[in-house]
Amino acid sequence: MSDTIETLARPAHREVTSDRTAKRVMWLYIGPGLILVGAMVIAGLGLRMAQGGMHTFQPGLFYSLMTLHGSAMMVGMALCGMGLLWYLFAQEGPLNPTTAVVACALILIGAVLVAISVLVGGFGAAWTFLYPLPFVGTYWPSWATGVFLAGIACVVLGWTIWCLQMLGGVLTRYGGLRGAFAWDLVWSPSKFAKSGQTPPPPQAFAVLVSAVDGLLAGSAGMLVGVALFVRWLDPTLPLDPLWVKNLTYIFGHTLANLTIYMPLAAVYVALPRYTHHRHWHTSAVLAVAWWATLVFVAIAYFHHLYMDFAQPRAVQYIGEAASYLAAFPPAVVTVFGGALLVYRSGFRWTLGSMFLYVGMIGWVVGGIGALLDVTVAFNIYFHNTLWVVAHFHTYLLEGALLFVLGWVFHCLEERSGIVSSRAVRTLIGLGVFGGGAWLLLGWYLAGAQGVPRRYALQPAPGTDISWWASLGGIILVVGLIMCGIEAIRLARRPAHREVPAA
Amino acid sequence: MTRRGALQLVAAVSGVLAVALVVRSLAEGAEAIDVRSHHLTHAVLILGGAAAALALTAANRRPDSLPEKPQWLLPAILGPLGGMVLMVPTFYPYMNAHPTVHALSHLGHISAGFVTAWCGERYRVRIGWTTTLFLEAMAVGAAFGFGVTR
Repeated sequence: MSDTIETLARPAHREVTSDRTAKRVMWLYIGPGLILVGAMVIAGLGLRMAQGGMHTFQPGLFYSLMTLHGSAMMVGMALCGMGLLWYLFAQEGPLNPTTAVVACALILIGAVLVAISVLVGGFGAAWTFLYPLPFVGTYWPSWATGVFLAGIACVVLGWTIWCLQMLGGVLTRYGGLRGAFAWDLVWSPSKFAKSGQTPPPPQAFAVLVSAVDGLLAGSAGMLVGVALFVRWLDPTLPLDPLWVKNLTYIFGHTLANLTIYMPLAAVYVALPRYTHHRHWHTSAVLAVAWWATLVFVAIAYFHHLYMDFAQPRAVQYIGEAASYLAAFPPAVVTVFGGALLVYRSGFRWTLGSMFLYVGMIGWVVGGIGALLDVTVAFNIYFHNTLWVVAHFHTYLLEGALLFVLGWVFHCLEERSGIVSSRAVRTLIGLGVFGGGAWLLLGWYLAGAQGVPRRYALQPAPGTDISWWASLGGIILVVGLIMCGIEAIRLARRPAHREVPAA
Repeated sequence: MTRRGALQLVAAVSGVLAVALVVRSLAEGAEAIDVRSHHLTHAVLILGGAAAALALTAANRRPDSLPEKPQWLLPAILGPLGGMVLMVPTFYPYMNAHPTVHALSHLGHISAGFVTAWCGERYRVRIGWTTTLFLEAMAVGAAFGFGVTR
């Protein structure tokens, strides 16, 4: 306890990484991350249009592009969240930029290897393939499989380095797990208040949860990655398919979840800056909510294995319960808290604040879609249909991506001292939110009709719905292009003033 | 006994026990052992090496406030990867038939555990514990599917 208090008593800005360096590291992550995401939005639109019959891809190319779309989108979104969190935590305690640069370089090398395996080798097993894929029934050369696995291994190594750096930073800054979890704030609040200490800020919980669950995902990814790589070299090696599937989803599901939780820190930091004198402080409720998130995100993946009869029944119940419970902390604490923060606060609506606020709506809508899917009675009908694609695109495209764009525009607005005009905000809003909602609706409708996911040629009514949904996708891309032009316009303006961060 | 002395004793005992396991497998000669048991034995060896390193670093603990030392991070991550490579079941039949190579590979497991924990703690306080925990989870996890079927 005394150790914890002593550590918390340190000024928050002691020995912090310089703001200029921290910003450079942040853009080193967010820049390539957004480029990857942008390119993959275009690729994704091409896939959707092909499903709608607007054009055709060569056999195999559809699945290769789908693989690239999925893996590069995950890497791109993860890079954005990692850069954002790194920058925010660098305001709290010292972080070594070299470590962050090495992690980023490894991830980008991994992305290049994945691109080579897909674009040159034609690898097309999707980013979360299930064993005996990618070894049996393939149409691409064996080397492409090896290069893809090596690429994912580089991504996992870079991710692990980042997680360890962030975890080390949090534990050092707040005096171990007890301080980082705000244990004393929750269990001995009066004592904690009397001590005059301050708990970790809300964004530190996002760092902690991302690092711990991220390491769990990274370990599972490393283990299954080594196993698959050895299986690639030695085709006689037996692997337990259920074991591979469990590890694949600990890695894949957790990483996908964390890409949403990481940029959430931007909401905690930036949203209050658009209000008049309101702050997002750490309360016992917020701390407990993040403890719950830490646990539920790690075990919710079991809902991917409902159809596996050999999976122990107990973990099926755990999967359903954890998936439901995982919804409460963000809904109750972050989204409800965010809405209350904005309510009657004299909120300033800019592009940055608009993206952050609408991102919370997208997160909730996607979350409800996910909850329906994890309900066993619905899952019987929705399993591996476009409903799955609908819900994760909702909280990635209209949730996590909007948090990142909100943060980017927040930085640009603070730097330039100007905000976008109402007309520009309306046009971008119509494109990104309107086009996005139209695109997503197509997946929800097709999913409810039982149209399967990952099909180049869809059974009826998939093709018709895809055609209409593609129009929404085109509007979304136009909105994102306008967004990019506006970002460049703001970035080219001279710096208004140096604003102290977070 | 001082805390430091006790920790050094723990380090020595952990290391000696791990090495004793290696010597035992050398003394027993060629043996047939199923893949799952083999993985679990390796997990114990890794734990021995890691426990020795953690006890040693705890006896010579760096202050919390010291900044990270990035040069130690890569070996702390490559340690688990090396440990996993040594657990490739393809090598097991050969190792079972060649006790000396088998013993050397077991020393490799102890080293992987030691390097993972030691370098992690050198990188930043408490990180060695984290890397050890995840390496051990991977080693035990391997016993349920890596070269093993139901």
